[in-house]
Amino acid sequence: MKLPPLGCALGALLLTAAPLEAQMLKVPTETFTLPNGLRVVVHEDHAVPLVAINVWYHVGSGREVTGRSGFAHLFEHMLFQGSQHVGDDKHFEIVQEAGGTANGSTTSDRTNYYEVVPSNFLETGLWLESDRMGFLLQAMTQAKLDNQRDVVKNERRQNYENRPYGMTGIKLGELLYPADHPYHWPTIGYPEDLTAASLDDVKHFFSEWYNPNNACLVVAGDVKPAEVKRLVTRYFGDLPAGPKHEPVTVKPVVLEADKRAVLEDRVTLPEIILAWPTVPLWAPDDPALDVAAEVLAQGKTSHLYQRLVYQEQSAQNVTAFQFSRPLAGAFQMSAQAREGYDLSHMEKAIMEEIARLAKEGPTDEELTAAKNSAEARSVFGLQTLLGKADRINSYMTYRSQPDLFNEELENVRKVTAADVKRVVQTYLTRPHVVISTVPTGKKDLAAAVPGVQP
Amino acid sequence: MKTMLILIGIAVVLALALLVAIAAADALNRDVRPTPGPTPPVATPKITRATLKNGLPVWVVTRHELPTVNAVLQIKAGAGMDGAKPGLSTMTAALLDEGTATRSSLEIAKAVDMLGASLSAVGGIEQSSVSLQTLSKHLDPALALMGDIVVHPAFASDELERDRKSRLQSLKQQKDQATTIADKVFNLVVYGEDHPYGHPIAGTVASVTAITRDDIAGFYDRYYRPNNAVLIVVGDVTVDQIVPSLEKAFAGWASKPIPGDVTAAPARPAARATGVYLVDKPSAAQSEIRIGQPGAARTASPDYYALQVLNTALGGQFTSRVNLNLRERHGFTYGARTSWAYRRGDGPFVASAGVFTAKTDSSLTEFMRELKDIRGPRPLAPSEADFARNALLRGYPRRFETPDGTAGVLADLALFGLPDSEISNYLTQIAKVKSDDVTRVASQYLSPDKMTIVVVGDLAKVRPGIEALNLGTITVLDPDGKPVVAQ
Repeated sequence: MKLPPLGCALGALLLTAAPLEAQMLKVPTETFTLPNGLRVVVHEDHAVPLVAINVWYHVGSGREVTGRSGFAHLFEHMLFQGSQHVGDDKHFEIVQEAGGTANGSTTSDRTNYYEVVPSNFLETGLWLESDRMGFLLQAMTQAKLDNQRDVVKNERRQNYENRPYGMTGIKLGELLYPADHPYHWPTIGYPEDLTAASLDDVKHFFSEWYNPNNACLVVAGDVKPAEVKRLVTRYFGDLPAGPKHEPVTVKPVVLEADKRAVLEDRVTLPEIILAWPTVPLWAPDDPALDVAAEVLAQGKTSHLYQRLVYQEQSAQNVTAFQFSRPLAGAFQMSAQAREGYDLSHMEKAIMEEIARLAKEGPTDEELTAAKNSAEARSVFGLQTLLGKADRINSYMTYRSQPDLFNEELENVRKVTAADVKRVVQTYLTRPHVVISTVPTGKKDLAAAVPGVQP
Repeated sequence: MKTMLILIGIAVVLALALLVAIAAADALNRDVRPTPGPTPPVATPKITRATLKNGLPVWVVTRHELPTVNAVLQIKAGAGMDGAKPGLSTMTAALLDEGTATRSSLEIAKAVDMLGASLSAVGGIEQSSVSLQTLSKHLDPALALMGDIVVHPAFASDELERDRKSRLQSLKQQKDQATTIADKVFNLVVYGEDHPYGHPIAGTVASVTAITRDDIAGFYDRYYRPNNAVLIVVGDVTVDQIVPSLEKAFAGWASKPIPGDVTAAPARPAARATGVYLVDKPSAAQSEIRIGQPGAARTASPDYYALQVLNTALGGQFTSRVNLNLRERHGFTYGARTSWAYRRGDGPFVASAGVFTAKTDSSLTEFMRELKDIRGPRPLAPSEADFARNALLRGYPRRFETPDGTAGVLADLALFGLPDSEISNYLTQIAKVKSDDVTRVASQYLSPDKMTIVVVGDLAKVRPGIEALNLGTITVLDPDGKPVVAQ
């Protein structure tokens, strides 16, 4: 490839960047397990007088049963409504009066809870988390459930129903994964299932999943490990272990043929989403798929941005990412067509660029940029105690190891151009899902089946 | 012997009693909230300063915890200087990294990617900023790129046309999003389109269509000057280490007198009786509500700190009055809040929420109740004031956790011309606020009879309920804030 005249300047930068030592990520941890099965990781960092207390329960929407979609998330809300000794509606009050922040989140695979407080409130945070791990049901009422059901329905309205393109992601899961796959239904749930959730469901879910042996606690910040161990033992040591659960197993997702759908929404521009079943989080091909996504459609230098947004100016934006979760992964791409263009045009360009990458692979420059970006992102990700605690907890929850920071980065550094070519050839040539979201009444803008006239 | 035995016996009993006492003290009583230990000292950032040969002030906070550097160049002019051309300042900022005298747009992007850095420029209301985040091992080449886009932007015509096209499309897309419509219409109604806080920062279809390369080059020439800027650096570098690199990176950038007074506070718009402005969003699942008025400027006056305490209690966090009412008590919304946008002039105070369509009128009633109550009928109790003060004082160290957060605190000092002592003064002043002060500023700064109420939602469903509340004159607007002629 012939470099443009200004390639020299870029070359000079490359030379200064390349020989520098690869960054090592230092996140020292101490790990112990209580007799009741609670796993605990302490990360000591005295840079700021704060501590992040972060609990992951290894249960998400993937464990929900038919007719109760959205329950794991609704349940997450219930954990802020008060436990026996802390009292009703006191959780946020206590954390906020301490000058801290608190929140929780639910995914298909896990539910997390955290508070970041001044380090002298460490014991308060552990008291709060242990009380809701051990004594939630004593304080549970129908009124609390009804209130949070309304709040969650509003969350669904705000983030899905009333948000442009908000319903597309729900449709994507339904098409990509078979009905019995844990990723088939949305974490936010279906409205009728939220309506059906009962107080008995709350009790059952708690006993089944909210137990020390199904949780991992990370304490990160301005603390001494010995003191953390003493306090954690004191507050969590007498909580009883709960039932043991077999890990979820799923068969790899294979689509027999392409699945296509058209949604209408109150939007100005049509948007196409394409998704291919790929590999789960941390599978050997996961990092190469990350690099492929970056080369195809992340940032101004990517192939599809250059082609559709910059040169042709037919698209408002393009995206690509390898969305890998513990049980399965999907490579997702999207493009919004500007006025005057339709989604068939977007799909054609996307498929052509995939074919080109499968044939040519990334350039050395693209590969280096992807690796350098991954390195920098890993370091920037260490800027907050909460960010570190969450990463440690994902490693512990899914891999039972506290420090995969460097291994994860090393796996990106090992990716070759041949790997990228191979994963694109392997995964992005298979049957996939195509969803067109078009402005209401404009189905003619949808991506037509290739070779078939609309 | 006997005496001895008795003595031993007493000793044993005493020892046992002591053990029991220790055990009791150590037994876990979950009903008792743990007492926090002593408050750790707040380490406020130490700022070291230098001035480049061209006059650019450089503020450095050295932090070696991570091998990273954040640099923010703040230009003290933003959309407030757009004049009759809304969108001018944001278009100027957007074009900075789209090509320089020696690098094309793609070459800049490639060079930034190669370093794994991020480099971006955005226009704000009273400032524009160029932000860099990089690993410290790539600092020099990263600063060279930052300097290049600041000192030598090309403003090439084809890049301008690309941005214009994208921007016009995105202005249409803004109408898809009820939250964006609500914010835009609220600012427009409260301040008017000629006010710096009223006009849309991204521009209008007419203004974006009309802005020329000369307009942009002119804005850049007037305001992008070392004497109208400050460079804030936070991270793994000292002022002595970085200044030589900065001299190189920003060489050729010259100071020049700035026309007009960019730091002047815009005038407060005239107050009006409370009015209701409705924007139709057929079949919307929620109504977006905005209620407010011109608020307060960022100054170091006692009122500023009292307003901080007020907002914390009223709508600044989860446990605030409006969120506990609309979300936790009534289940009308996923979240309700109030905020004050502090600016050089009186930025907007706004209470906001997305609420279930069927509960739109009830939500307005509860919002108005809270806004009225805190002024007197149900003033902040001393315990509420204590709570809010504690939340602010103890929460202060979190602002300095990340380099970005620290840079943000410094950027505010620069923008509002506040002294370094304001960083610690903040704590002293907040600690002084009493519940009476809060009631005073609540009644002074909140005027429920002079508020603008905006609702973006399904008017066929929500209008009758809103009319029945008799909150004020009702006006129906389109998503651009223009009156809709009754059909």
